[in-house]
Amino acid sequence: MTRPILSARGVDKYYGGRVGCRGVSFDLYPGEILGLVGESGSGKTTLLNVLAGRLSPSGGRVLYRGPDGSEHDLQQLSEAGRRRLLRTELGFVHQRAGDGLRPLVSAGANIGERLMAGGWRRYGRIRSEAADWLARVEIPADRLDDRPADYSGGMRQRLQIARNLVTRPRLVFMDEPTGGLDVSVQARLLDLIRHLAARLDLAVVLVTHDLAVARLLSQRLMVMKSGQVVESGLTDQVLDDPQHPYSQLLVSAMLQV
Amino acid sequence: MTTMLTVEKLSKIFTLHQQGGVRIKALTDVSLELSAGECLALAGPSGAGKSTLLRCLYGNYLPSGGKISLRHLSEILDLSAASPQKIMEVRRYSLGYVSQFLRVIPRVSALDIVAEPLLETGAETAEARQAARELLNRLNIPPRLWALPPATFSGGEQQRINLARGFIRLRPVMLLDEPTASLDRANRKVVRDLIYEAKESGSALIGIFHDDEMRSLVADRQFQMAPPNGREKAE
Repeated sequence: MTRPILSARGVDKYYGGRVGCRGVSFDLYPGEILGLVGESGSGKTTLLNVLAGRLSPSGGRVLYRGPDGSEHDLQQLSEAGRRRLLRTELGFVHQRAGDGLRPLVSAGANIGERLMAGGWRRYGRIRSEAADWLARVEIPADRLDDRPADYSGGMRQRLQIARNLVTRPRLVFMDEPTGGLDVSVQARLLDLIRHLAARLDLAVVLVTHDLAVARLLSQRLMVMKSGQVVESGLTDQVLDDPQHPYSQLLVSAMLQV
Repeated sequence: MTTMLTVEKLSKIFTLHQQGGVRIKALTDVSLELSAGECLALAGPSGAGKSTLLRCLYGNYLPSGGKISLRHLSEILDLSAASPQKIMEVRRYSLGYVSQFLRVIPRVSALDIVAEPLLETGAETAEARQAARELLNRLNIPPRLWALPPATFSGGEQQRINLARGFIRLRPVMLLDEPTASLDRANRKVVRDLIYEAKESGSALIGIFHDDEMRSLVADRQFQMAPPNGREKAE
């Protein structure tokens, strides 16, 4: 049996007296997509930020297991060590593409920056790799030198995905990657994420409030309410036979998936 | 004959928390056994729990009681106690589900939807697509549709796309949920042949067939089901 790429044990996050998330434990395996669903304020994004090492937990541990089997507690790493991981083996896709991009440098430089952080030095190679990734996320090659600020919302989000995936990460955190995009743009992005995740054998923790997105992309689901995981299981089982009253409420409120 | 699947005293009760905790009994004490190479037809009126049983066997519904034992690779696995990872593995190698309802994926072509189950187990793209073409051909889907996403296809075409996806890789145990409903005569014959071929290759099948003629052609045995005594109010 392969070993988990990410393990959470009893993860708590409090903001003063307020609960962000509480008592969350799970294992994520290589190549697996785990959906975190629940309504706004249920603690999904807080949990995601703790898992990605962007917030420190109030209690519990998060372990990332590298390709050589070494375990890293993201909180115990030095700032430089954590940044190195976040730029190479890990990725983070923000809901607002602007939060994950540099708006004033070119698209090519946005992609190339991660490569340079990973030790790439030759300009020509970096540029051709960046162009290759633009094509993979279906952005025309002649937009390579444009700034993200001049891109449409859907293109900006695809660029953010290219910037994350260019270093061939093994684990990517995604926070509502299709939120705020209109439906046709969303469909293209979903297909792209689905395709790339399968091709690159990515493990993904995906936060979404949209159960149709979760159904399409994730194999497993965790349903969160008031900071706690109230139900987890195979995606189709949780959506077709939800057990917890709150999961039943969520599923019955969904239009059609 | 090798026993592929054993169901012991399986029960399923749905608790509807949104409706004041109403409990609906869907299955009570269902027991059956299935051997390699045979096809068992589930019989009984609408509401007898035939589809619910198939969904419990596939891991789609959580059983409320009882045990499901499935032969998986070289072991006998208790499905009712298996982890999600294990169930995914079981579905990849040992357990298939064929239904008429296609869940359309935006922008993915009919050909690739059909080829996907082969790719999941490591087949080469070219080989998987070739197998998909052959099956789409057999099911009379015109080649001009193959490269298109099935979202705009007719109901009958979508149904046959899903049948192709279900049959492209035979698994040792196959669950068939009304595979021939609303098919025309020519396509019913194709599905009949696909079922024959599955049996011949040693797959064990459990199916719901509303079409009596089809049932008598493909099924070796029947399993009679009756609706459990309805609803009970939670305490």
